[in-house]
Amino acid sequence: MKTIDKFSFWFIGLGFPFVVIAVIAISFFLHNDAVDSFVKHYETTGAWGVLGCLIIAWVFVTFVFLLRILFSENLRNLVFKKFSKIEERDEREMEIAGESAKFSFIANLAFWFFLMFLSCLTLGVKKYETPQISTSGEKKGGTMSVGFNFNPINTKSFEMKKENGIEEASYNALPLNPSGLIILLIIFQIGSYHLRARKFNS
Amino acid sequence: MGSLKPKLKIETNLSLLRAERKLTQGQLAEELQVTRATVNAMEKGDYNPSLELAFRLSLFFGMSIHEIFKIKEGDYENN
Repeated sequence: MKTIDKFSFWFIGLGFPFVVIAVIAISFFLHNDAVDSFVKHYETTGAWGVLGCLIIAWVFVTFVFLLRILFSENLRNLVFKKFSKIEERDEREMEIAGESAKFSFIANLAFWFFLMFLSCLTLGVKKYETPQISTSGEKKGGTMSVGFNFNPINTKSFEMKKENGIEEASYNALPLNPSGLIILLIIFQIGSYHLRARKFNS
Repeated sequence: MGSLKPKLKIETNLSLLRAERKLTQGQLAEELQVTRATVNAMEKGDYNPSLELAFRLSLFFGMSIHEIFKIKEGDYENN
């Protein structure tokens, strides 16, 4: 394996936990006056700059590495070995890898369809300024509804409007932001693969 | 290519043959260029080897494939 690939792999692997902690810390303390004054007072601006450069370098190396995986079979095999813990040393291990990949592919596809279905559900809440009488004769101050709305080009997940004395709020999205959703999918993909592979190794 | 879910129930005296030659599973695996887990799986009947691996076993033990593996009488699934 090329030295540059080895270096990239270890740089990404070792840097990953630090980058995650740094990103969480930066987003948590961003625009925090106490942190700003600490940084300026103790002249740590330079250190923050270096940290920022390291994070950008890590993101760049990761992006290039991911592109190279698409075109390099050796690199793909190396990454596969590290993530799957299967080395494909013989025919049986190659079959285990294939069976597990097939299982993971189907499981992920099913999970994607499930998430797509969930994303189409709409939760609506209405509040009436003046209680209204329902068909059953009861006075109702509001209603709650669950509907189905498939609109892939609508980017608004939460809408609120008020007209004719009725306040209406509707939510149409998954209860996770894109980053959370991607992390969940990555965990599910790796987990489903290992779940299947373990069955053959038990 | 071998099968992880054998449709044919195949019996083998591989463990006996290995013991006669005083080999461990690891040693036999090394000779056959497979993993120890594969040798273990073959001996337990959990894995049917590919044609290539069956011939390597045959050459190693100096016996025909039929002397090492045989279909279990009256006990195989039709698919």
